[in-house]
Amino acid sequence: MFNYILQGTFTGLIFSLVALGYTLVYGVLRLINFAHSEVLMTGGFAGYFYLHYAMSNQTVVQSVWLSLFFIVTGVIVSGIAGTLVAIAIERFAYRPLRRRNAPKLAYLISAIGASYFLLNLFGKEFGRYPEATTQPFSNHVVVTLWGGQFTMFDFVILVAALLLMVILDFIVSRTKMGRSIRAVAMDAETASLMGVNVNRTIASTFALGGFMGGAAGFFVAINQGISYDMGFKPALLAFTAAVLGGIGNVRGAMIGGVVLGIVMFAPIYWLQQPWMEEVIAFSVLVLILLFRPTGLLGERLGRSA
Amino acid sequence: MSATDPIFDVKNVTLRFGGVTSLNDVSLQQQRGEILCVIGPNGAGKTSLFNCLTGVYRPQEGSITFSPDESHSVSIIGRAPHRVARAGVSRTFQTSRMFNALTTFENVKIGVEARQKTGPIGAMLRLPRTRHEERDSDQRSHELLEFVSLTHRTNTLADSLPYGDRRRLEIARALGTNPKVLLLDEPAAGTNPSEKLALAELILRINSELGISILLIEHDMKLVMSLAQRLVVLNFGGIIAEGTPMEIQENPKVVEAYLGTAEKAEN
Amino acid sequence: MSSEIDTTVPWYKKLTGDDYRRVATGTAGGAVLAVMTGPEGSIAEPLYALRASLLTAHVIGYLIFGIAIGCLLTYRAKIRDGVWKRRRATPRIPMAEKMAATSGPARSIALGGSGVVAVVAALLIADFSGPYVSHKASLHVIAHQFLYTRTYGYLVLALAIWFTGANQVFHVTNVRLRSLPKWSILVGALVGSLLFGLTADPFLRPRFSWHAIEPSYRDSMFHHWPTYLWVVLALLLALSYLRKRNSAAPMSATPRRRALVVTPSMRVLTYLGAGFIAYEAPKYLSSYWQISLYQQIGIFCLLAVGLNVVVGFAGLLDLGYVAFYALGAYTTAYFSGALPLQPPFHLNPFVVIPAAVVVAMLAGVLLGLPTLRLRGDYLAIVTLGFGEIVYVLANDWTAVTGGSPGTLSLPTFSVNLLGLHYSWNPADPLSYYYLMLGVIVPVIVLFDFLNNSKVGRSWAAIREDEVAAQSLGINALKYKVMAFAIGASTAGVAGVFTAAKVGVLFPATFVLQLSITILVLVIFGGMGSILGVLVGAVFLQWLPSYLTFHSYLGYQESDLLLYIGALLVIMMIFRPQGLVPSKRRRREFIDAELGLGSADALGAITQEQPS
Repeated sequence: MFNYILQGTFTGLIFSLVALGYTLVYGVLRLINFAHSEVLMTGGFAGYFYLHYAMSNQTVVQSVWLSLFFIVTGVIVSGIAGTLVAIAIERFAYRPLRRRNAPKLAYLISAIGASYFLLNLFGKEFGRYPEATTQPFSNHVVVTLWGGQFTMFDFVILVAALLLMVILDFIVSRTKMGRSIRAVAMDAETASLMGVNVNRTIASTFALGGFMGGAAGFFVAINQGISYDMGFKPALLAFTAAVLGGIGNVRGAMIGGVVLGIVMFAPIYWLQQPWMEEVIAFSVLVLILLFRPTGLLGERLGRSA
Repeated sequence: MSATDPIFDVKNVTLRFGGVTSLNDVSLQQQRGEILCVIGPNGAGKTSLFNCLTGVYRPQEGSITFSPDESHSVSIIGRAPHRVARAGVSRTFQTSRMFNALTTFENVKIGVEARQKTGPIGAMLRLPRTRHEERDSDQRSHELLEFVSLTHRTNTLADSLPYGDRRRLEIARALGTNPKVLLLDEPAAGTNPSEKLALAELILRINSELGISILLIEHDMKLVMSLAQRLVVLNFGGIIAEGTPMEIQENPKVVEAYLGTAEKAEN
Repeated sequence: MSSEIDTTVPWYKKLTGDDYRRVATGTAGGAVLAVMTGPEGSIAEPLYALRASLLTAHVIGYLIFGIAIGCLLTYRAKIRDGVWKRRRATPRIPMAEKMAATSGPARSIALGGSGVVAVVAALLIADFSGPYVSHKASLHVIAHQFLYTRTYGYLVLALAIWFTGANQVFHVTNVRLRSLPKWSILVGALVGSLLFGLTADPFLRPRFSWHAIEPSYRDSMFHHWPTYLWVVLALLLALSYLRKRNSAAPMSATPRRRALVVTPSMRVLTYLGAGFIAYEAPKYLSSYWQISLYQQIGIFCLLAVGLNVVVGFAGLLDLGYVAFYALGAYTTAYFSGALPLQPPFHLNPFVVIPAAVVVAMLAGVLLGLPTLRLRGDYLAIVTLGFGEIVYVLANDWTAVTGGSPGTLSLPTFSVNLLGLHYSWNPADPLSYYYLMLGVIVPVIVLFDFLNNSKVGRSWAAIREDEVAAQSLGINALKYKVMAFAIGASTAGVAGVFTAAKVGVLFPATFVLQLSITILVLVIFGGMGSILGVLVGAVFLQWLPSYLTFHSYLGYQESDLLLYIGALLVIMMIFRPQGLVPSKRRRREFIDAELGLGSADALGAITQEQPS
């Protein structure tokens, strides 16, 4: 029982990271960023190539410090790749529409288009077959708790995700950038009258979400390898997590990911049907929408983050 | 007005947004057939009151009862806006909200049709009843356009109408739903003096010829005094005075809260 | 905001960082295009595709194209900001007037040149629309191509158009179309149409070439439907022309405003023509195109018209549309007993159609009700999830759906009623095509009625201003769910048709990509406009088939979604209303740009609950 909860927590942390991207963009633009899955994918590819070349096919990393170095730099490289892609998405699929005052429908469609474009461009460029990533650390079982085996990867994820989220929370709630993000989230028009550069704020929101998404991509790449469509499933689950926590709410997204991870994990192990995880996540999504549409923590970026 | 036959009975309505109280313990009655005018400075809660009366907002406390006729009454609170509209409450908006991509005629027709029974199957197959209703609504829409004297604009797109015409169109559209009471939110805002005159006349005709009660929010004092049979003054979400135009004009509280600020603004 | 343009500073000194960024963006776009159309890469050799495509010649073309686009954008922005002077300050003079004013050698060159252009265009069209020939280099083959009857036809047509045009502009002869007597126009139309029917029937096999010496009964001109069609068309055209001439259209209008006036006769003519072409044309197609006409074009027209109700009419976004398509297909499979899960009784696919409608509609309502109650944009993600679930169930729930190996040997359509026996033969794509036509035409008519009824107007009202619509007593939730359910049931019907024709079902068919593809058909043609959606569906389904068929164009099937993604973004930025927009929808996008109303129905419906 407890090991399921822990196992779910570790899985859910990745969702949390991705969900942050959804929630930030939603808070500012009131839009679901359908292209966010490709941010994750790009992060994964960047991580793959970084490890591939930086480690030049070492199979076992000799020292702990070297492992740590590869993980930290890998997260940064992936995060930056995600940031760049997120900014590009904002620049090409969102900003031209904002200038035209386009209806929401147009944004959603354009984001889907951008997502498909990127997805298939990567598929074309790097082939359409999955590939395993070079491991920056040896992924052995570290402890056995309540009958569940917890690997190195779980702990890496735990530490890294918590660290990233603490940093993000700090940025959003303490820095100038965070203040302008919250201001735009509350009321873009007033914020712009107060001298906030709305375009730049939106871009920085995408960038922040992109960094988190890219970093999540790095971990997904290590864990499951990469392929051009690796972003789709985690992103769908992460969106569910964002809604679960209360979309637009940064802390809600963090908690939502973990809760979703736990909710999903247990039935899969009990029923021994791994394909059911999407079914469960989807049912969770519909149930939240039915009974608590504002999510666990409510919907406001401006207020609660 | 001695016999009370209220069409709207608002009792102790309180509406809060977060920490801000928008309406505070508001009670008022509108008699059937009456032109009641709600005045008050900006931010006094007039539009919030309208939104409560039309089901857009749901106040935390109080009750709102609407009586389409003497024997019936329904509670507005908790009713979805479209169901309130069907019960017989129709409204216009402070900033006019037309269906801009549709023609004047279609705008009115949507109002008329909303009460008809045609469903998707009937519409797809053009069943006899649908065609019958279609003819009815066409006729009724033409009548309404004539009533507000917009016949010459029948096929104009709503977004290319001049401002005064948009106001009249919005009234025609609201009348299409066959209301018992019409809520007008600053109908004269942004119109010129001659349009204002025509509007006042139109409102009086709606009241006398169609027998529709009218609840009016308006800033233009001349218009208010010439139309209203009774006035309610809101300030800071609460009612500070109630009475005939003459009484209100002499009420010191009102002069202080409302006309006083207007005088200050003039100075 | 000064209207004066500073002319003392040369134009290139007024370039700012923004302008360089525009050109750079254009260049980058060109590079992306080059990669898009370049060879496939692989993970083992990252950036191979980029390098390989950078080394080929076509990349240079794309780069130039990208730079040109960047320059154009810069020019437009500079003109808009009033920094540069507009190159053409004087109002545009119509081409015809300009040409009529020329004299001497320029005149002869224009006259002759336009004639040559007309001939070349005709030959190109004839070649393009002709059968595919692989060795274009051989003179023999080229000659053969030109001996096809359609080549003569296009030539005659081009020359006639050229002569009429040139005569109107240059007064080559004294005869103006306008001044001709009535009878001559009628006779001319008749003779012209017969001539056209004789030579230019674009669907006929070569009649005068050395391949078709033996004239069969069907190919004989007067036993051929298209001949009559051409005659009827020509007569109607001539009549409507005469009527227009008699009514003496005011010539004071500027040339630009003298657009095509659609008379009732022309509308009848259009329907007749479309009907004839839809009925006759497929008979002369090769079986590749006949199959593709049903499986690629017909089914997708139906799907697109259904999705149009959701996206175009109601202004919602449905990303799991394929799930309903799958439901229809699997319902057919279930009732034929082909699935592991056995039905209580077996049903003919015809009888399954209503069942599929009900199943898909129920699914639509169950999914739409809770979601649409909240916010329209949640529908997109919930349907996305639903689509994924249906796919996962089809793929993995082996006990019910048979799983990823798919389902084989589904029954085909057959009629066995009151002594009437007919069974549609899967080997004969045409019979299915006509069956499909028999479904799609009524669906189009019904949806058109629907859009022009109370229901359609209510959708328009909700799209534009939901609060105002509700204040009139329109139940927004009901109409949104209705649109969603109607779209879903249309997809269900399409599912039945696919299952019954193809005879096999693979879960891999029903992936998200297909939903996106259908969405593109709707967007490209013009959401909300049935004609637009049909045009979009036919064109975008035909093009990949064509490109796959003619492999020399270097198109790779696997890249389809790449182009589709790019197309979606570009359409949304530059032409959100689509190629053949509906009048209402176009207006809404313009209004939205001006800040009046919205153009979708993605807002919340619930009563606002102050907290």
